Amino acid sequence: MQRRTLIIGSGTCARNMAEDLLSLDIEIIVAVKDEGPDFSLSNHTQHASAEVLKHTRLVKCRGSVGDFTVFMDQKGETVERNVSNIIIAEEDTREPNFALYGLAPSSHIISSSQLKDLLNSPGEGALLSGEETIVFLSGILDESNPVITKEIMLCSLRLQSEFKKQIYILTKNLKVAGDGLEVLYRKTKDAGVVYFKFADASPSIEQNRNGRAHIAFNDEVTNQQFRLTSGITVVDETIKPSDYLSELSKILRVDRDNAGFAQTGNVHRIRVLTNRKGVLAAGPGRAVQSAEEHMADASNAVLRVLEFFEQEEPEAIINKAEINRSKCVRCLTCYRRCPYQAIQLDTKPVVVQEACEGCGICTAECPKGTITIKGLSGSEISDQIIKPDSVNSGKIFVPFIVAFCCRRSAARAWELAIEAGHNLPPGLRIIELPCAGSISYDHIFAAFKKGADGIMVITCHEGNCHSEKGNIFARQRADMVFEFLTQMGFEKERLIIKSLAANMAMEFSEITSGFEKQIIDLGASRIKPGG
Amino acid sequence: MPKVSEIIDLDQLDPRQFSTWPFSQDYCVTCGLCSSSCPISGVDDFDPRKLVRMVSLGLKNEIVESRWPWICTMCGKCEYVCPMDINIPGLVRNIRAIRERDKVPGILHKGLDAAIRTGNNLGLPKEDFVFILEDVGEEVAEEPGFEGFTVPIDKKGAHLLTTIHNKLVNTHTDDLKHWWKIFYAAKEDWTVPSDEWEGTNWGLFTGDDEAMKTMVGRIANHMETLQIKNLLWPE
Repeated sequence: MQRRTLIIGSGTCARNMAEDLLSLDIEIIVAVKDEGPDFSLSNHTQHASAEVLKHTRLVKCRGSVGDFTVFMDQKGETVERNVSNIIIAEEDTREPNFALYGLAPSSHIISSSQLKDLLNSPGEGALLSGEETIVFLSGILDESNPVITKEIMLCSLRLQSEFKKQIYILTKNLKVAGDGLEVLYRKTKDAGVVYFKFADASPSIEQNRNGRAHIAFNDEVTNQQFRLTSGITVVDETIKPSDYLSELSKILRVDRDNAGFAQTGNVHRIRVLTNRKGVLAAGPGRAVQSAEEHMADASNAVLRVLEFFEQEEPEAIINKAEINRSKCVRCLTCYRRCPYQAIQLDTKPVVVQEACEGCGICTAECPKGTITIKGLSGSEISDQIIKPDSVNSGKIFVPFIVAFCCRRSAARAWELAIEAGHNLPPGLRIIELPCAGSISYDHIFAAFKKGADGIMVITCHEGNCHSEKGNIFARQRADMVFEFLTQMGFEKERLIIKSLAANMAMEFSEITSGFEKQIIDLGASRIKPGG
Repeated sequence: MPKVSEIIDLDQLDPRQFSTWPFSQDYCVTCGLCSSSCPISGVDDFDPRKLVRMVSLGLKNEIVESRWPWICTMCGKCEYVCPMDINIPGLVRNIRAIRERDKVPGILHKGLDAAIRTGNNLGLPKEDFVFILEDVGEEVAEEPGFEGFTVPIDKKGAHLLTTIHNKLVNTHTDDLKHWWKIFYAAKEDWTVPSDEWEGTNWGLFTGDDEAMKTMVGRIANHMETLQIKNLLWPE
């Protein structure tokens, strides 16, 4: 396998990763969409090769982890390369929020980037002379973030101490949850910066004829009305993914967060992973982050790449999906449903073994039942559904309860409950599955057929599913079964779906015991095993 | 807060004017823990956070006019819970100090003023004071077990000097007897000064440090002139 990584991006995060990977003897290609900065990577090229492609955009990607073929457009020419990993570190963009506050840019209304440039330019702040007050509008209508907050605090500190201006910062929530931000906040307060926070109402902002903002508001703490005609009003900026970043996510089939960055908030992706093996998201491509966080991402991404190339131990053996090609009708459900993008299209869909995580979502979703994973078939699961001995002994009704548990969450909570000595129903039988998304109709009905008096489907919490949507698929299927049962005139209360985290042993005990009680009230199932 | 004006022009305010006060009031993050801990939050619409904010914004007229600093009980719970270590009781006391003295509410400043001028909050003449002490002393001596009790006034070289709360020679004379009986039973060699005997120090409540210093100075002075090493100051 070639040791080559594609880095998409041009900022310090991209450059740091490029330099680190080269020093570790890993080849790199850096694709920069425009002219970009000049990377001086020559020091490291004695072993591995480095290629910086400017004016180059990714247009297509084939293959999978360890063997991606990427097609790029360089000024109309197609450049094709083979790489093992891809790191998305594309720069974000900034948009000043003039319109949000109903203000038009003028010499009295500027963006925070304009102010930064002004402060950094020689003859600094000539524009600021003659103005006594400077008002910052930050995250009043939209949420702010620590990156912008830090910039604003640094600028206001300079303006207040060096330029002797009076600074007012108008904000909704002050985001000080970043390294050194609380100390910085104290420094600005010491310098005399005044903050107004708006939780309930927003200030009224009007621009007068000479371009200045007239601001009036109620201070929510003292309930006092204030007004001010601001010398210079500095509006904040929203940090967004660039259009190209959105495009990249689509081409690489990577899940995005609500803002459009190339990683969801899923804890399993921390820190630079995406839903797709071999595709990493770092720095400005991953989230709104500070320069320090960009550097941390760069190091993390390099470690992940290194881990991939230097892997000595083979990965733990997991059973992977197999498609029976002769039965496949090419409906492409698997292609659409696979959270890891491990299905590739040949003439028919094929499972990329390296990318498959064995979650089993495809096996449960395939309408033709042509996809199998060893251990997950209806009959194999059915064989595991065995009544505990306690169910049959004695005259008191002991319900037979089958709980389908995700191996990452509910099954671990169950183990913990046993270890902690929590109460568990005597007739409880646990069936552990790789993901709740692999629990199929077949499995649920097999349990009823085997005489289960109650069936539980226990998934990870929403947003915590390693397979992103496995828990949502499980819920959709459970809803469907509720519907079936109702139509059949069978008690739908015999099935429940819950979510748990791996550390929730007590809750595991509570929900299983609660369900047992519910089933005792309902009595034994009318379906006789084997009948 | 008292509305001194309906709308305040921010550029007319000096948010730095109390920045030399050593109470960290500018670090307030308006979390509201002080408000929820304060036993008089809600009385007259008061809560400590508002006061901290007013000082931080430099709303001088408003805080001086406000009744809020005067209804605070100085219990200190707000300071105890404040995550930013703001000394709110200290702040309250400083606000009290900047109000004109004749506008200090109730009898606090009047009593203090009398004490500075006459030596005690009541303005009680020396002869009357001595008469009351001796009269009450005689009552004690009449009780079984306290035969021969007298009040040692201005006794040089005594072991213990005591001060008197003005109400004990006014409406609560019986309360004088408890200490005296203990002194008698313990064979304590004690004394009380015949003038400047006031044991209260209302400058504590009105924010008047100068007056406090004067009052404390008088007690120190007694100890020096009467050559006494120990002080019982029951206030």
